[in-house]
Amino acid sequence: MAQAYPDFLSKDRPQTLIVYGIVTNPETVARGLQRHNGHSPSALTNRHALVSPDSPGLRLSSPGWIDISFQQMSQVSCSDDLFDLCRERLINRSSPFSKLIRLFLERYLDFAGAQIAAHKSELGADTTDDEIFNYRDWIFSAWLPLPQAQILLPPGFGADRPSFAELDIAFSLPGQLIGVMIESGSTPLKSRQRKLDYLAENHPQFSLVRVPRTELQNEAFPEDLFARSFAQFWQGLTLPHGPCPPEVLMGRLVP
Amino acid sequence: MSETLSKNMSLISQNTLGGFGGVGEGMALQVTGKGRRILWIAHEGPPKNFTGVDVTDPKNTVVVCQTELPHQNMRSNSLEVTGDILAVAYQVYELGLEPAGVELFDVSDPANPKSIGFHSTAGPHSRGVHCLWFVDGEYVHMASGAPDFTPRHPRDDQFYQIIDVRNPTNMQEVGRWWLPGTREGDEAPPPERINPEPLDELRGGDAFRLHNANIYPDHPDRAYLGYIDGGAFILDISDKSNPQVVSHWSPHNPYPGFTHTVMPLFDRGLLVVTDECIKDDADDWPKLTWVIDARNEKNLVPISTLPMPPVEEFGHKGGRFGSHNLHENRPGPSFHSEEIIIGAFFNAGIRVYDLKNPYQPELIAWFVPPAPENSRVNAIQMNEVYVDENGIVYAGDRWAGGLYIMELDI
Repeated sequence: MAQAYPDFLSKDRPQTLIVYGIVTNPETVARGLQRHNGHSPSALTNRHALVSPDSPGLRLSSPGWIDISFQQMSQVSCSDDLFDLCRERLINRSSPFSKLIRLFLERYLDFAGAQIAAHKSELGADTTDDEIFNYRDWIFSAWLPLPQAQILLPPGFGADRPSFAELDIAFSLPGQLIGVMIESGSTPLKSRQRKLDYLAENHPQFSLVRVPRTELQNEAFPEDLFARSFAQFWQGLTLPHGPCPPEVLMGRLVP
Repeated sequence: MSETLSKNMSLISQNTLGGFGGVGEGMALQVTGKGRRILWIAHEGPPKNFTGVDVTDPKNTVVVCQTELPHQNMRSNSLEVTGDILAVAYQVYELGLEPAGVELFDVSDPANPKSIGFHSTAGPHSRGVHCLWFVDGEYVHMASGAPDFTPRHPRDDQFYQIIDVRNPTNMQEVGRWWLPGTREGDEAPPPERINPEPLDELRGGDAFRLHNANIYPDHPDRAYLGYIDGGAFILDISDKSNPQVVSHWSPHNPYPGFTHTVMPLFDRGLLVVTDECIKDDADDWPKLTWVIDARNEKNLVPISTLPMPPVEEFGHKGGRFGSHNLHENRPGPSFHSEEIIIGAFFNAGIRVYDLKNPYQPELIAWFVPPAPENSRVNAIQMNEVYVDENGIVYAGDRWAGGLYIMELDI
């Protein structure tokens, strides 16, 4: 049985498909999901996220996005190495010709690291490196930025083919879909604006954050533009973990 | 061609400019203190100097001003407006003639432009100014000859000059740069000609001279030059009195020359570079628009070209077929995009490209009207394009069609 068209307005099974990264044609990704005969597609891969209103939110620790081999993982010796790997992977998921998106990602990841450092006493103190985890591991609880996100619009949008609203970055938090648009001074295109307006008006969990480019030219991340829960991403979690739980890595051992 | 070819563009109106519909390479929009929108248009050649068209209602445009050149042996092919100041380029057809240079007008009353200053670049080896850039109200950047400049080759006469126009009655040259080897007395050897042509024709190709210089106020230390057969140059102009070459890229040869515009897309680390078609009937095909990876501005790498329609379909339709002017993201009441590129391609009309994936530019809209009445050739010759902040496209035919105003639906 083919996977149903993900529809965030569906009454019985609302789902939001977020295609992200360097994807020339998001329809290809959407079609690929619909070919999962008889079983559910992954909720998170290196090209898409499929979320529903009760999804737990996507974090750096969410399995599926990082696309790392067992051999690469075996060379990671500490949390900082793994975070650097996450950073590299995320930056490379955005076009090399999208300087502002890359700058946002850098600022955001620096901010997440700074948040952990600033709250380390709250996060388990400065434990030694031979402990199972230390406060620095909470960095992997930071919300996963999905660069160059394209949100599949429901059939009700009215186009004769699947349509996608384009965002510079998307974040999926519990019960929230946050879209980020960097205000670069570009003249809005009617077709893109129409899709974005539809998303903003119809998606029950969506909110849009507009980030002036000048904010990114400062060293500091513009956290004031986001809700407090966005900055305190560890709230409600009991333990941190990384993006590569053993079952994921073991699954990659067999070619 | 008797019918309009179009996709995602539609004609709002046309204005043949009182029968003087030959449009040059200058189009700039002024929004007056009273909210009127005046499009200033340069002419391809004499007898007209410049025309002001009230485009406040783009369906019902009105010529509010049309001026005459001092004589028929000159042209004013280029102009720019900043605020209420209009800068006009004067180029003569024979060396040594006057007036050659740049003239400034106060156009606060668009129906009655008042000259407020003139800077002469006339000289025994100068044709004056072919093209100028004026977007900050302070400096004109232009391609011009000069009284003290003797080129080794007569067509290499127009080089890069920076003119301080803050005092319009006393404009001063504050910087200049030319391709080493093109001036008499240079230590560098003269450049090897790409397509040698007879020396007695001043206009045209086989030239190592400046065409466009693009300088943006938010990146005031860089100048982007289209140096015709010399290719594209990036200059460091942080010291205007001493421009320095940052990098250079040229596809000539094997490509047939005439780099025209070098437009930076700063947020993306890209350049869009046009080679102007200068011959009818595709005699200099292919004249391409190149997309250059400029993330490392010292190592410019071509990564794609904007797709063109088939040469067998357009090459012999009449007139020129190939790249020319772009909408240049200039400051002011202007469309700005680093993903959508809008260009004038002579008989291939106005074409709009999506550069979201710069490795695979995609044609998303076009408008190719029929040949205008009284044109010298049997096809449209879209010569210039300007897009305002509302996405209204203004384009000009080179010979007779005048101003075409179009709506984009993208």
